[in-house]
Amino acid sequence: MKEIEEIKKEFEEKIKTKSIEELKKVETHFLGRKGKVVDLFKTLKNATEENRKNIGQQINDLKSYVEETISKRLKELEEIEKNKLLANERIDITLPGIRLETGGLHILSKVMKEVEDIFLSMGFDVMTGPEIESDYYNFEALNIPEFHPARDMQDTFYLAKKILLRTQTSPIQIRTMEKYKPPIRIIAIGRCYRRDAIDSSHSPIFHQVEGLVIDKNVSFSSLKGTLLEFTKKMFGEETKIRFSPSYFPFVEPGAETAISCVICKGKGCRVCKYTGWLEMGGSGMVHPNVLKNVNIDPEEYQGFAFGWGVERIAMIKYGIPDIRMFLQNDLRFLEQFK
Amino acid sequence: MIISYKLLKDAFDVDYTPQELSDKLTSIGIEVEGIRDVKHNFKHIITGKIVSMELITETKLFKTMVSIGEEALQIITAATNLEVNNIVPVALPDSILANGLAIKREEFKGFKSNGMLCSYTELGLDPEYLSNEEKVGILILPEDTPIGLKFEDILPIDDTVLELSLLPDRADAFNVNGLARWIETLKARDNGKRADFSKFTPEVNLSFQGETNFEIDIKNPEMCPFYSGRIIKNVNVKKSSLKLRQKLFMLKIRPINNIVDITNFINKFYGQPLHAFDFDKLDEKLIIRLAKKGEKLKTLDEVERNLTDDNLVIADSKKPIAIAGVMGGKSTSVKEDTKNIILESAYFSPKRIAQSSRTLGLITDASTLFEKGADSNFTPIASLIATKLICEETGGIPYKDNAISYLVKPDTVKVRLEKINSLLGELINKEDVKKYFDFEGLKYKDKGSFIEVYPPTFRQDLKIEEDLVEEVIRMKGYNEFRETLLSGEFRGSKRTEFEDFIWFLKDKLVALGLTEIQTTSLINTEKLKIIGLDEEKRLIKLLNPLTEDMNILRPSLLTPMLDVLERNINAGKNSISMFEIGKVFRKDASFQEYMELGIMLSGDKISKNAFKKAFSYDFFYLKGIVEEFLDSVRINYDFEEHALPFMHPYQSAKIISLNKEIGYIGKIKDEIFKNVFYASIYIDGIFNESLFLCNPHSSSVDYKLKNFEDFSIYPTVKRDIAILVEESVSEKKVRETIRHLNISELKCITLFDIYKGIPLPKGKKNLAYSLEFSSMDKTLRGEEIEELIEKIEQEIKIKIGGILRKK
Ligand SMILES: [Zn+2]
Repeated sequence: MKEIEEIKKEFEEKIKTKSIEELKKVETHFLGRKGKVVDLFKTLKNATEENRKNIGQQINDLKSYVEETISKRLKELEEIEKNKLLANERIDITLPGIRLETGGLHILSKVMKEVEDIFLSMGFDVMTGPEIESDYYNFEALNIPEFHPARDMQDTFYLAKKILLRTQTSPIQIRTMEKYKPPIRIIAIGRCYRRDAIDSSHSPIFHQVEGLVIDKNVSFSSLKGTLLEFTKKMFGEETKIRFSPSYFPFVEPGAETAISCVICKGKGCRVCKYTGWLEMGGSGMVHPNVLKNVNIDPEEYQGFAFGWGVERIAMIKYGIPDIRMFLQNDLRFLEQFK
Repeated sequence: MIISYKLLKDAFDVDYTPQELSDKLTSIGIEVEGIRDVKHNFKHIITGKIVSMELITETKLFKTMVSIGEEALQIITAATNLEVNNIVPVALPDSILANGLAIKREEFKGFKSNGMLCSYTELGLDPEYLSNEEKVGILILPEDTPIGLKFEDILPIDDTVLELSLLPDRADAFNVNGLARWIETLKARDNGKRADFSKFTPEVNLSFQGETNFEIDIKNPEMCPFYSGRIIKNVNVKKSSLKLRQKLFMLKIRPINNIVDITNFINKFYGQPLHAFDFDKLDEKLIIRLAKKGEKLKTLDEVERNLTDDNLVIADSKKPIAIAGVMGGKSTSVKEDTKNIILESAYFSPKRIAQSSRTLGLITDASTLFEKGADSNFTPIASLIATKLICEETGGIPYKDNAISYLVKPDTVKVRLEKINSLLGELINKEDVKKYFDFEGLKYKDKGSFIEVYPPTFRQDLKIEEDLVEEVIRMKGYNEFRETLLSGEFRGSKRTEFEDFIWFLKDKLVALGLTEIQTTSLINTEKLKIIGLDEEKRLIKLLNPLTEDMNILRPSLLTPMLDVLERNINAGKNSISMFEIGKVFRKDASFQEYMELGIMLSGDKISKNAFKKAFSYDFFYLKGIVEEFLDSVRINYDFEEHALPFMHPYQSAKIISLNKEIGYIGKIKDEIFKNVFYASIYIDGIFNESLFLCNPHSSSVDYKLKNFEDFSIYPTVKRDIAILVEESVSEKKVRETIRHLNISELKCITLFDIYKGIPLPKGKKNLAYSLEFSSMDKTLRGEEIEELIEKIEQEIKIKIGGILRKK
């Protein structure tokens, strides 16, 4: 039927609208009470009997077609509309996030904890002691009597006669041995003071870690083994260790310990002064006089002790060039190790 | 100690190269810190004698004729320190001086100059080892220097110096002879032989005029076990001869006069400090005794010393004339006009010399040697060697010494093989141990179960068994031992309770967003004055500060933390939130140290941003941190308004726990530092102080994880209320009024608004709270909650006269 074709054509033109409002009008125009499709049904009565069924069918088809198409189009348009609204809420995801001040431990704390954890894993206890010490604990009990030349090696800050700022963590050795019976296996860690002029590798305030092991079969070999194990855990499995003769009044035999340079791997660089080795600190077998001072029989027990600088460990491990940085607390320094 | 390699090589026939020698010495504990080549260019420099000199008129130049042997050269010089007959270094044409100057034949003011007379700088000599006289103008050589001698025959043109860093117990290597003895040990070790030290004790033959008839009286034999005095008459004191001057040069000794030069030479070469007195200035006798308080002595360095009974002195019948083993006196010293001397060679106790020199603060070459321990067997030999040299140099007539000895043989030291093995953790056989002792030339006897060693007098380091174990390590090699792991029982892999607690606190503070700092504990008094913390009697001062900047121990973390703040602000930082846990120090009954926490905030938690969401630190943010912190250690606390000298008087408070002050909080006064909030908490105050050291008892604070506590499965109901009260009623009072009702269903009270002003009546404020209710066993109904709120309303009305309004 010609009219059906024409209406369909008209509908297909009108359905292209982009507005929901227009679409509603289109709906009324074709499907409303006076709409074009409804009007078509009115023409049915003019049709011949045999055609009526056929035409009726065609009009019904057109009606369903129009209804479906409109509903589909409506969904489409609604989707577009919703998207428009969301697009208005678009943000620039490249803007920087909101940052808070956040916390972190000081690099010295981190290194001390690392050192403590390694020795804890090796069965050591961790001890501390006072920074204000007596001459007895800092020197005398450690086999360094008054006027002993070894006192020159540790220029001391005094607060009063025989009262001083500890120059080493070794007084804790004595305090521990006074309190506990062997076997003893401890490290002592903390702040020490020496009247040293300040430069990039010396500070009047520094931190030391000291080890003390007292038992029946502790030997120079186990001292070497212990320091080697610590060194490998702290600086890496490939690090080597070297001992050389040294003198500290509270040990005999005494030794200086060096590790293979972790920066150049022993090839020689500025940090190791082209020797391939980095001196770390003193060690040795506990002097019998020290044991006698704390009522331990040197014929029954023997032991070893060692003392390394915490700053030195940190400087080597993290490539820190100047010891002064630790107490300056420049955030540009601290934040690198958060 | 600095030592010439050439000297060692020439005197002791050393075969090792400087590098080999350094490595070997270092391996046995005589550390060579540096090897330095010293090169001179003395080509075409010879000695010449000035035969005539005259000033060229209207100039400052001299025309000199200088004899160089067969011929004499005309040389023009500007030097003013010359006299006829002086022998000087002459740089001939074609020589090149140390400063790079090439010498040519030249003409000055129409006078030909065929070379140049040289000063020490032009020769490139180190001024540290020259006399003052030698440093003025042209270098004047000793009178007996031959003329026409090549300068390189006087001083070596190339040498290597070894810089030794010697350990305090290595007294036997502090002199050339002793060092050479160790090189002999190295050779013996290389060859597997016993060291032969006989050549290190020279034979000296002298014929004496007679006895030294001068009384010597040792009052304190334990401090001076050996003293020898020897008269040498008719000495001619002057500059040293060329031969001696050359020795001084090699040993880096600054020349003074021939006698002093010889005593210095013996000291450096043989390790025996000697002293020469002007015999004619002594009264009656020599007494070795302790000084009496009040006695004074002007020492050689022109300083008047106040003596005490710490000081051992050499005195004559009237007065002290020398501080024994430290420094001689001025009035009896050897000078140009001295005719007769008495030469002292003595052995003093190391302890006494250390005490004497340290109490005086006077450390000399002699005291350094004596306190490490001189070789008492060598003391009389050193006197003989010196006497021979003195007689050769000065034409003096020697007398036999008057020597008094209380010396005893050094104790023998026993060493057991078991001790060696147990200390070293390795089995070493007896033959090897004996071999090591042989390398060191030690005398010993194998007594079966032990070896008995007879230490020579120069080995002050061998006193106990362990000392000999060290010799085994040194001779075998420090790195020739295996590494073993620790075995056996041990207590335990624990930190002290206090250390555990500190780590817990640090982690907590970091979780609260704070950055840890560690500051200096040595600060300056001035800084404290600014903040009013300079309570003089409680400050701990250093007796010997390194600088005035660091003259006291910090009584608080505040000043060093402010310094850190300032440093970072100057470096361009705007915001800081930091904490430190560290020791502070105060003088109470005694010197005390306390662990303190400082928290400092300044600037923004969230800095200004594009989203208008900035947040600045303030009093209540800090208070929140402190509350979180104190909650984590589960202690009861309270804040009490309290003015501190460095805080804003109306924005500061004490923190109280169980009637004890445990800290403070507040805003730092603007005039000290703008916009800084600071809180301090006394860590010892919240932790049992008896736990301070190595104490295994449990702590009074309980910060560790607790057991699980059940919570309600029924819904929580929220109600907002407003309470109108007098402005003078503190917020805390309102909250506590509600809390005191002990309503078990009331789980949480949150203040969310404070309002004053219109339309409220004057003097009133409105506090808005959000209340949370829940029950463990049912869902709460509306009317049940209404009942509870009515209860609160009544209580508020009765207790604080407030009006509650529901929302
Ligand atoms: Zn390196």
